[in-house]
Amino acid sequence: MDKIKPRQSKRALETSYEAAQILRAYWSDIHSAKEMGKPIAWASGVVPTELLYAFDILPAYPENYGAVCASKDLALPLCQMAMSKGFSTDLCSYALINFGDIFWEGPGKPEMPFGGLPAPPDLLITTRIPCLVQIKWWEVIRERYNCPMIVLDAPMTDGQATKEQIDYVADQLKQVIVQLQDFTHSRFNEARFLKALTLSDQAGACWHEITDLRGAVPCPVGSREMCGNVFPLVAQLGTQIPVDFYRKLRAELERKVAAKTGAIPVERFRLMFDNIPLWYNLELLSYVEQFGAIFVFETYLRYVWGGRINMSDPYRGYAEKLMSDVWLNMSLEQRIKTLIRDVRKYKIDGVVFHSNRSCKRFSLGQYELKEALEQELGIPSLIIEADHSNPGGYSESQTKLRIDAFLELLEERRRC
Amino acid sequence: MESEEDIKMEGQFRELIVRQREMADEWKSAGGKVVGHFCNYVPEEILHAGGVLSIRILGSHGHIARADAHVQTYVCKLIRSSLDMGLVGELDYLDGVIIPYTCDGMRLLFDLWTKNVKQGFVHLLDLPLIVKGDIGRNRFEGAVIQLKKSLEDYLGKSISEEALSISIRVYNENRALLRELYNLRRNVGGMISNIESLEAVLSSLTSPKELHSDLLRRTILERSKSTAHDEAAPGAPMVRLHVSGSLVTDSRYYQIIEDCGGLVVSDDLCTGTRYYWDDVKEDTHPLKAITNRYLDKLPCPCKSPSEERYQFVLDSLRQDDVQGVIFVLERYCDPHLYDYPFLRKKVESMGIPVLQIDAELGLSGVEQLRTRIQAFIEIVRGG
Repeated sequence: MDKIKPRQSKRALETSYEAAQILRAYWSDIHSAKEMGKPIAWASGVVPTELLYAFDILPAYPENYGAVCASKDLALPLCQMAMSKGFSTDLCSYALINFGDIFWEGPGKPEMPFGGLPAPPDLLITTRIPCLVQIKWWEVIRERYNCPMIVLDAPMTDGQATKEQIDYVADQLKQVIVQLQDFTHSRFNEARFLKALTLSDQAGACWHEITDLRGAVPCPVGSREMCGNVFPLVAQLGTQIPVDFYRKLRAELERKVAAKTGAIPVERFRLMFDNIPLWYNLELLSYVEQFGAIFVFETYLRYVWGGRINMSDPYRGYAEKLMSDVWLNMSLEQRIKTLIRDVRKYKIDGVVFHSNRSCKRFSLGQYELKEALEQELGIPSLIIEADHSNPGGYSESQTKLRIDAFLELLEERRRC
Repeated sequence: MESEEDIKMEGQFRELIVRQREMADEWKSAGGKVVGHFCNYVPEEILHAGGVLSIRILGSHGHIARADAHVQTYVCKLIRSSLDMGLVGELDYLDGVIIPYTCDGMRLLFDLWTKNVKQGFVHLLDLPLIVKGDIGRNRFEGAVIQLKKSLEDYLGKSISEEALSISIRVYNENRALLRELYNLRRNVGGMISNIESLEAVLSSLTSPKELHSDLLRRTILERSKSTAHDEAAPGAPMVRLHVSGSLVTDSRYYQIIEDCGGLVVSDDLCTGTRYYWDDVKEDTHPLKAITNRYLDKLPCPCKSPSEERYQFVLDSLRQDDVQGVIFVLERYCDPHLYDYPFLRKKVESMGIPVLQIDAELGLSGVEQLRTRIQAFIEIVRGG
């Protein structure tokens, strides 16, 4: 396949440079807060972050931090330390990285990025919405630090959550509020919470528009850059920061789309990426761009972080948002429907499924998705075997060869 | 010395396991329905009250023929092999399957099953994670009521409170007998072999309960009589062991332990105490009592909080004068694998040695395992 002149390494969007500043400021703030004795919660992904901010509790994300460690090539020594403590190599590598960190013994500990997770946590908050693993992982953290833990449960949904399902989660959210009052010894400030929800909804709306703007032909920004732009949505929903950042990003994208400026010089194939990216090898996402292909949509970016909240019924609206718009919490049937819809909507030519041995909840059902794509739309897909954070056993060259072959296949199909 | 009668008795639980399919066919010939289920959170009493024979699906030890086209290999063998059994038609005799939301794999198995294994009554028992507090309890109760309703719709008849009360008694009796057998094996070493005690539970999971209870009763009676006459077996005393894990379905594990001089006196297994430890209260509204039993039962690591499970394991070790613990850890079984390091540490802090065995349902590498267990038992003896 012919290579197109590689683009310069600079980012497609100026605003993307601000993501790094936001990240640094977040870490600096959380360490200062810890020093000042403010409560820090170690939070799972997709917990009710907005509630934490309403109570002035700063969330730290071991999962996100695992991705950071992986991107800095620190995963292996940390995973190995966890395994030496009896944790199975088959556990989620995010968890293993965290266990390696919190149970590290002896010399040789890598220098942890951003000064490390603020430890010990004052509070733990977790949920089954992404997976049961979160609960099990947090139980281990609790054993380590012996601090209070809040758990939010939710059933998986078939797209729209039912009334009973929403009630179930909304009832728990009210209980979480009581638990947070007890923990902080302060009264719940509903106005502050509703403000946080409004900000979260604004950020979520903006994120959806950004996703749609990326649906333009040519696509104004690829996956690799967008993976670096998701952090405010992961950690800061309920604050002004993601609203401002994503509004600016949206405005820039609007200009790019109006001017039909693509992220790559010639866009020949539009790809979708399913599952969590390979944090130690994000370059894989931009690797395809030299061949005129670009990842324009990712299930991980669109259906894990952010979402709309029905503010006319905020508690139930919040419950619905938490459990409904999350790929990991969708039934297989719903995943198939959503995939088919989005492949059409974003004009996708091919899908790359990352079969991620660290995330069963994301990965199970991918074979069915692949088949449905082929049968219902005639869209080809590729399954690559890897792990989101642990590079052990991953072969970059083999994976690239398979991607090359997949792009050849797309080329051939276009010729036919 | 075992008498001929003992040997005959000993084989009877195994015979029930072997005859499982035949018994299911007989049940169906008599006009009944047969429904499979997973895990020990499905309230079988409701099925029984509806005249349904409930069969616990325990996967298989064989190789996977078709499931690998539907599910990745980094999923536990119970899920992979059970799906495979469904796909190749080995479970065609079932009129349906109930899958509870216990772990993530089970929840997604429901979706894969619905899509790929066409079968009459396929039901998701959508259970909450948290079993303490009113919100979790109400959700759990709702799931149990929903199961009863769906089953009634499928069967085309209602399940009366009276029928439920009878089924509760039948199940309680079976559980009481299993506990009696458990206590006997703890208290009267050698009265019942490792394998037989395992097979007694495994056969209970797939047999008509009345039949199974009858056999349990006779076994307990016979063994109590013969043990009273027996002299202590010659040679070194057996080492008393606890087995911890999820499923043990291959009796060769227990055979090897016994061959090496180990006696399994207690366990916390899905195919053990977690199945039969708790009864349904008989003096309250039956459906409520059933709900409460499954909520309050000895929890599986899929449920939160988990302290009660830890406590049960540690209490078992204290009560039974256990000398060693063998963890049989199913590969890719996240809930157990996350708990393991801490549980192990707690056990070791009691001065009890631990052996970890990685398993995938069926045993592979018999001789290697024998060597490890032999070495472990020697360590325990020496300690």
